[in-house]
Amino acid sequence: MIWTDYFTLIKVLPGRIVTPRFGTLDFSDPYLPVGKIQTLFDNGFPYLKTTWLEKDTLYPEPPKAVENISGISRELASPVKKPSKKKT
Amino acid sequence: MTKFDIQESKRTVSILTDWWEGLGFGMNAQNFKNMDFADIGKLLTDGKNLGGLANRIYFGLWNGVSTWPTDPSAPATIELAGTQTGDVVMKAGKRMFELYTTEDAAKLDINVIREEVGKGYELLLHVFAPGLHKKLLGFMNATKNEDLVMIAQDSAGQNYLMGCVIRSAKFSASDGSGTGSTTDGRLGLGMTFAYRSANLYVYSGNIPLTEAVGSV
Repeated sequence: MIWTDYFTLIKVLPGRIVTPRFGTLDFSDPYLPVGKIQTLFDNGFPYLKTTWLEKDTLYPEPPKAVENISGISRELASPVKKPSKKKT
Repeated sequence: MTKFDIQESKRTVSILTDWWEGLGFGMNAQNFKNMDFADIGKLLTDGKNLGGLANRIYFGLWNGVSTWPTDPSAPATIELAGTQTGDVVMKAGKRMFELYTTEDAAKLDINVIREEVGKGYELLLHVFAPGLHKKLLGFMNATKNEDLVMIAQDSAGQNYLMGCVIRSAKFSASDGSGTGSTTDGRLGLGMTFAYRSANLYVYSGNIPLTEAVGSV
């Protein structure tokens, strides 16, 4: 797997960017180490976004609690209050 | 009638204060009121403390910048008071460039300017580019009256940004440019770029040497 399977370069054309952590990286090179790219992304590098593959493999989502999956359960946990009728 | 005069007077003072601080000078102590001083030790990472700059500096057009990093606002620590956050992001079609400078020939001077209660800093970036080739002469021609943004990197890899949303770095002087007088003299262009700032910061963002797309 190459880093472009997991991340997409955004806002700039593929090319060189000087990073404070790793020096100059040439993002036109698909064989940059995935670990470096992931570290950049984790530290807020503004020129990367994730792909669907990256979301599934590098950052697998933890299993969701039942309450979070079912909208009905959430409603039961905190039912929406109906507006009270004004007393006249 | 008396009340009206007071309001007018107050408004005038506020406008002048905003204007002055908008320029970046006259930073008041209010911005640092939440900050505690701290002990400052030797602070050398792994004992490293080489002087000088890296032999590459980065430059671009000031009006090519879309987004500037943010200066600290009411920082909680003195470390945060010296750090900018965010990146220099270029407008679509613009990028930053690299300029080679001879080893041990580049330096960044930091001078204090103005008088009491209005102090600021002037950063002077001295570089020496070897040779007198057409590209270099063209660079000098193109930048001599232009508003620039520049980034210098010290030997520890720490970056210093020259340029902000209000002010640009400017070509200010040529020092040691020419052919030299002897065969062991120095042939090349010596250039000094100046930038004035209210405060000193480390730039911790990235430097895009590739063309921006899609941003404003």
